[in-house]
Amino acid sequence: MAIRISRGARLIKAATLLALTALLTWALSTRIGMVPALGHLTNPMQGFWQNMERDGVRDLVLESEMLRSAVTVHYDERGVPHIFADNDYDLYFAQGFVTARDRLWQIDFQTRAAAGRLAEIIGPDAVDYDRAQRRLGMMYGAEINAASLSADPRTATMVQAYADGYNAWLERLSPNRYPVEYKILGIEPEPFSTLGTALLLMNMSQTLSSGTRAHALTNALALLGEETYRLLFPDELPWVDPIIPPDQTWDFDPLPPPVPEPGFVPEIVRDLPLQERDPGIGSNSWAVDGSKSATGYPILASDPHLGVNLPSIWYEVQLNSTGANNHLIYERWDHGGGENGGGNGPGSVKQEAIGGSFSAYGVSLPGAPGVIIGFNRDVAWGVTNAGSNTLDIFEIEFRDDRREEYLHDGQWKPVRQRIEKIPVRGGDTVIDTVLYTHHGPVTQPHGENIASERFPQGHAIQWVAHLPDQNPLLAVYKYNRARNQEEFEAALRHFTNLPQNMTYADRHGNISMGHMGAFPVRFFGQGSFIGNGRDPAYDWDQFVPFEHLPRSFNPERGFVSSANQAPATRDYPYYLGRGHYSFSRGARINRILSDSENITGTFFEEMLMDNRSLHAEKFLPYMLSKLEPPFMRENGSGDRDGDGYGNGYGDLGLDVGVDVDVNGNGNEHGNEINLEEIASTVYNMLEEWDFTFDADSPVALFYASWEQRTYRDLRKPYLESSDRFLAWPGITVIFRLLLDGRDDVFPVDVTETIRSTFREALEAHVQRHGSDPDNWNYGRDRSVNIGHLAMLPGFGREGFIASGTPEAINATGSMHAPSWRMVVELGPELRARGHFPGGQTGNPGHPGYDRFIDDWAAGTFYDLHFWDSPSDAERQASSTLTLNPKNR
Amino acid sequence: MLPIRSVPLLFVIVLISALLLQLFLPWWIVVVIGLLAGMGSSIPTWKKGLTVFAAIGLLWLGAALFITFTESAVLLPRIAALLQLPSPWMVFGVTVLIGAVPSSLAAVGGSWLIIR
Repeated sequence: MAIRISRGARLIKAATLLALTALLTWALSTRIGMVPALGHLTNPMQGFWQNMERDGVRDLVLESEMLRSAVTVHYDERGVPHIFADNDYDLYFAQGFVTARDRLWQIDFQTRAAAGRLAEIIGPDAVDYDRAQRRLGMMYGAEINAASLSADPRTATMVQAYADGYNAWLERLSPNRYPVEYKILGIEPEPFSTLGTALLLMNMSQTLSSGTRAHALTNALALLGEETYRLLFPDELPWVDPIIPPDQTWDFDPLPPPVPEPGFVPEIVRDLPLQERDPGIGSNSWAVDGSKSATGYPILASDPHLGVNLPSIWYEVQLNSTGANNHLIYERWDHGGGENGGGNGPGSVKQEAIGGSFSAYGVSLPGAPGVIIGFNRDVAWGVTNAGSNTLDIFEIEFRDDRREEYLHDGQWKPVRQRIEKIPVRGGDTVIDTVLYTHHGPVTQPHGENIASERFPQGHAIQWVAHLPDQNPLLAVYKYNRARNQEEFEAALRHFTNLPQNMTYADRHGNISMGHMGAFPVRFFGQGSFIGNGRDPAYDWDQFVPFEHLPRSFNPERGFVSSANQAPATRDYPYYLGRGHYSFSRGARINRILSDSENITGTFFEEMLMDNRSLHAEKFLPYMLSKLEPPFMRENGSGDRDGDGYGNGYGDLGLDVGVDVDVNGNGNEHGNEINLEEIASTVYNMLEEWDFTFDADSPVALFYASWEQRTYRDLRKPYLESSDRFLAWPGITVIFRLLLDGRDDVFPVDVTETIRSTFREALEAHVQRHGSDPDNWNYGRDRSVNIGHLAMLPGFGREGFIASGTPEAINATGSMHAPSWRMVVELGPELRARGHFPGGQTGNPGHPGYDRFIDDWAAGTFYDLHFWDSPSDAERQASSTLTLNPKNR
Repeated sequence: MLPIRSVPLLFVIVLISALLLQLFLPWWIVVVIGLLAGMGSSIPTWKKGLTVFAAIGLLWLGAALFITFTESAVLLPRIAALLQLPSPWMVFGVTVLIGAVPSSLAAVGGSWLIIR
């Protein structure tokens, strides 16, 4: 029998339940911390379900009043858009449109991350990240670069059209079709602009040119003493075969270097939270001429290595324009516009642009117009990072604690202040005041460390990415259209503030290599240590003239190559710094190319997948020579500290405690194991190993573990000789000393160190990977991850098997990997193949999102369809997008 | 509004109104629909709750299944990992509960408000 309750009590009950329901509804509509608003996210009419897409036809027709003419986009079977337009504006509008269609969230997120605007999305936890970005001058630099882009009619058109196309896609996108990341993070997409492109270029600069070890080297020189410093940090790394062939002569009169005031010794940096950066960001690129190729025409390979994420850093695209209607675009620049267009008056721009028919295929950076790495019918180009010093650190003498003036050239000069406002989700806006000298910003505030890997407190930096009047997109615009060496050269003059080694090949039979960028004219050593901010000799007044840059045209040997190593021998008359990489990849490439004839594109593909490490080839025989049985005679006594260094090998368990019973009385599984027997087996396997990091190699990971432990224990006495942070001596430098018999340099017993790290590595390996070395497997045991850009769990690709190592041409490491492998065979028959680890679409709900990863890992290349005729493209296309002009 | 006296009718009205209104209103409109269903029908409270639960739950489940079978299911394991669910199939369960629980609670609360 129901109990009668009063109406009042019932209303209270109802109100309570409804209040709880309202609270629940609110909670499900609100992102709490990083827990998404589940109601918005999961409802099938608006939530993530709406982002589930099948493969299929993507036909679309729409109108825009921004367009001059009709644009047709034919998608091929891999989702690569081939755009056909008749003028520059429409072309880049369509590129912005199709890129936004596939990568909207990625572009938006990367732009905000570059700008230091993540706290808006994440909350207070991201404020330090944002402050560090702002203080590095990311927004400051983007404003400078946006102005440079807008000053030239061609790049102004490119970036504006691209942003207009992006925004046209965004406008027609209903909120239920916003990319799923917006729904997870509970944010709204933002329109794109020229500033966005500038921010993404800054983002590339941050990745590629913001590294310096000047402060760490300053400390090393001061604290280790000059003699030890010279041994551990030689001016040239061992065994390096420089990018420009050593027989190159330099027939020009170099500009004289500045002369610094004598006696300057930078202070030891005390509050330095710096960690060594992961050395894995390196790249390969090479080309052979007809003397070495089977076809008699040049073949080019480009293989940039970057942090690989999903969505991918690259977006494949083909741009085609007849240029027939370019006069409509550039007309207005004839009337007073474009006076800032550098050496090109508006008239010449119009002449150059009009009638400029071209087709270019390759990869673009989402957020930037043009094809960055690719080819057209006549020429192909590839890049590797230059690595020369492009960011200097300066000691600054402020007049007093107000820091309103600083000393330079004997005068007190005013410090400029830049106010950075950082909005914070769920918090008050943070206001940061950044001090700027004429060099650049003070990135680390006085008395505070906000960014763990940046520069010392109170010091100013100068960075190539902050230079005014630099326009790398003009280089892209021009080299996309280049038909020969001369036109390509003209393009490279603009490739200044993202310094790269540029590989070139053309169908006329030419190949070339150039170390391109704005490199200050320096005295020897300038920039490799902290500079004197008072002394004008340290200012960046003059840059190495374009004609003096390290170049190689059609060298005798029949090939050009680069792998981030030193650009030239010491004979080269300018000092470019010491940010270049060790010998391994470059020497391997040069060895293969020297030894090979009748080279084909397929051969280049195999080369790109080459897993042989010259580190291992050089170091392993030496290390093995130090071992003798019984291998395990002493308990592992090596120090097992990990030190947080990203060594590119992934987790080798350097910091894992080992509790294997050395005497062979059984492990935790109760099986009998005899470590001495295992050690003997492993020793024999290593002796027979061919130094290749193939996925099925049983001993490759063990070798890496042993090598890294040995490196750790040999550098350690130096790093621990001071409580200040010191630069790490390079592993190749250490092994060069050992191979030269200079054991005396190391304050440890080298032989015993190598033996103990062998024992330690073996114990750790047995514990982690089992006691049967025949069952060890490099690919499975290390497994590679490609994470999501915003690190959303489940949105990357975890634990797949891939061969390679940072020191091999196939530099698939734990954090960086080949991000776009491309082979172009030039000549009457253009043939290009390539792949990247990801997919064209950035939608995690589409099967294409990570589709290329398995083929990429396995070394399967795709044909890149060079469709330069609309009718061919139409016949072969999977889907077609038509953008029609609408009457204004 | 005339009180709705039949469970099937209530079910159909809730389902159709949720389907239509969700085309242009946020997900929480189903909670409002639940509340109105509780207030505007005269059947036992527990039946109202269950009817709304079933209507919203089935609508969301049906829509989710329809999308899964007509589009691609590659997103389900990703969402399962994001929400720390052990199986992609549980994403359907969570979806149903997120729609059905608050809307049926609202129906019960609405029903209690109007009982004389």
